[in-house]
Amino acid sequence: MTVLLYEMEMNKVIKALKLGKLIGRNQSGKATDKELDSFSDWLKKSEANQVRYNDIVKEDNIKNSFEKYSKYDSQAKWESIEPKLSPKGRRIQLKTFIKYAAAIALPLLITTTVFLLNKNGDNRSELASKAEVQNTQKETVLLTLADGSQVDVNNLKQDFITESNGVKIENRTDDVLAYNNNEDPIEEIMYNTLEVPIGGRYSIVLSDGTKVWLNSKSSLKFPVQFGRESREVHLHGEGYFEVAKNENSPFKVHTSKGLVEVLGTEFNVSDYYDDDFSAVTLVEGAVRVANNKEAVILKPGEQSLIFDANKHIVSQKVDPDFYISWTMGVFEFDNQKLDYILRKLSRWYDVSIVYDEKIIKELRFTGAIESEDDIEVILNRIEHASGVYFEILGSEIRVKKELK
Amino acid sequence: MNQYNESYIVGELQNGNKKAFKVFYLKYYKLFRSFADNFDLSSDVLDDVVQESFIKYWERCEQYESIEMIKGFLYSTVRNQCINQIKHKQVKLKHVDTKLKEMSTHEFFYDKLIKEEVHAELYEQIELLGEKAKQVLYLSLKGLKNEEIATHLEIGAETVKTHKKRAYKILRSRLKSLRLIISYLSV
Repeated sequence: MTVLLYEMEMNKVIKALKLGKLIGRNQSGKATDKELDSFSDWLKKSEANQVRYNDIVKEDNIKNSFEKYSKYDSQAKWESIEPKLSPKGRRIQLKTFIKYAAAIALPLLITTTVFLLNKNGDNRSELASKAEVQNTQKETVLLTLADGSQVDVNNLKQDFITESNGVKIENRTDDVLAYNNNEDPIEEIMYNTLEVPIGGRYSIVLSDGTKVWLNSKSSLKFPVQFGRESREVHLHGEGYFEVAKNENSPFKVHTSKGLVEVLGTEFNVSDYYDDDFSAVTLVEGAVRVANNKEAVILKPGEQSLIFDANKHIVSQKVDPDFYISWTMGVFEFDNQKLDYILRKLSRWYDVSIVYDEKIIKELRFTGAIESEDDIEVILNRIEHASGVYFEILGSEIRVKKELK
Repeated sequence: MNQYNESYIVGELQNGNKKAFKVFYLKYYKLFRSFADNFDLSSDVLDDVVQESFIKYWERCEQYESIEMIKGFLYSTVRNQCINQIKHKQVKLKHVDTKLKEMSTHEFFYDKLIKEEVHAELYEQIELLGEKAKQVLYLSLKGLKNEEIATHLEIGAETVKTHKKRAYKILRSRLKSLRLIISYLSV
């Protein structure tokens, strides 16, 4: 009675998986009319097909699967299976493996749905210049320990790093470092610093359970173990914070232009030195943003811009989605200046931007960029939509108003 | 495995790199364990079947040169082993029921496979949303209203909305791609 799946069937499985993956990547909007047609044909073909489809998209079924997923403990199962694995002949050096993996995580950004809203450009399909942009991202994510020694956490073999006072830092597989809470009272606060290079992304779990995602070209200085009174960290660049609740100990983020103070909440801080302002975007809870001049309290969905430590803080309503999507490897922008967009890109790809005419900087675009495309692809899309042209010379991108 | 380059991992798996296998295992364990749940066996047996299948794959990891081939192998191995177990059990009990017949069909296999792929994909996206957003989504799948969720999680109703919007945006676009998978399989 058992019907085994033979070679031909296997091909069908593989075909299905392959296409699923492809479509999953390309996402909506990229499906061809033909594909959409064949779907509706299929759906109309029989009632059974309709039933099958409904079964998959039914909320209850999705919920069931999710409940199962959150119940299973992959890590525990791994620990039980690991001793049973037969050793394999050639051991590949771990170092090479992670290094490469890290390099891949980097150029993440960029494809698909840039629905650029400006005027329609002509349909040129080539960039003004096709010279290659070199991926010159550094592959090291540096952790500086309290004694000043440095560890490249992207190329680390051990599962733990041990601080001089015995505190253990867990090196998790998926670009995450975790600090565990030590119940003993601490004598003096020791600081570590994590630096993420251009094109990188890394996350860290602090000793109080607070999660921080660090974006490209950013660094965070934080205590190995927080003191009783307060929790204070220093940020350069961009970070998304999910602060663990502790009403007795406020969490403070110091930036170059001001201070963000919270009790337990989710928010994004962007404080790149080459931006005119640092921006704090609140997703949930409440935060207090302060500089030398004044302090404001933000509500969810609000953003404050600090232009200078001694100037007024500007607050505005925003859709927080646009400011935190980078944690998922997506870059979304809503009616933003080209200058802002290209500055972001220059932090992901190690390139510098030069404008032929300043006025071009002011053009505004709305869109979303995701996944793994080359920078050429994005530039190409912008060219299509706007009639702005790019010329790539080594690691410099020249922005031109028209093609010469 | 999102953060990793899949083809590189597959290459390393072909080389028998245990660290790569760990990355692969941690990423896909839940998916195959959940797929196994479609078969009418005790969870202890299913646990074993899934572990066995991963070990089987590890023993011949040199042979598979794409992630689809590996997953294809694992899906059909889990399924074949489950069917064999059920069959074995029923022969012992001297009765074969219609359920087994149904579970043995190819249609059953593909339906469950696709469902698993899609749900796992959705789950992965949701996992990336952060703790609160996840809770909001699960509670809303349970049928709670925004205000109820807000009270439950001690957050503002506006925040609930923001989280939901994000989560559903992702779910919706993922579901769109799902249609295409199904249509492709049926052509």
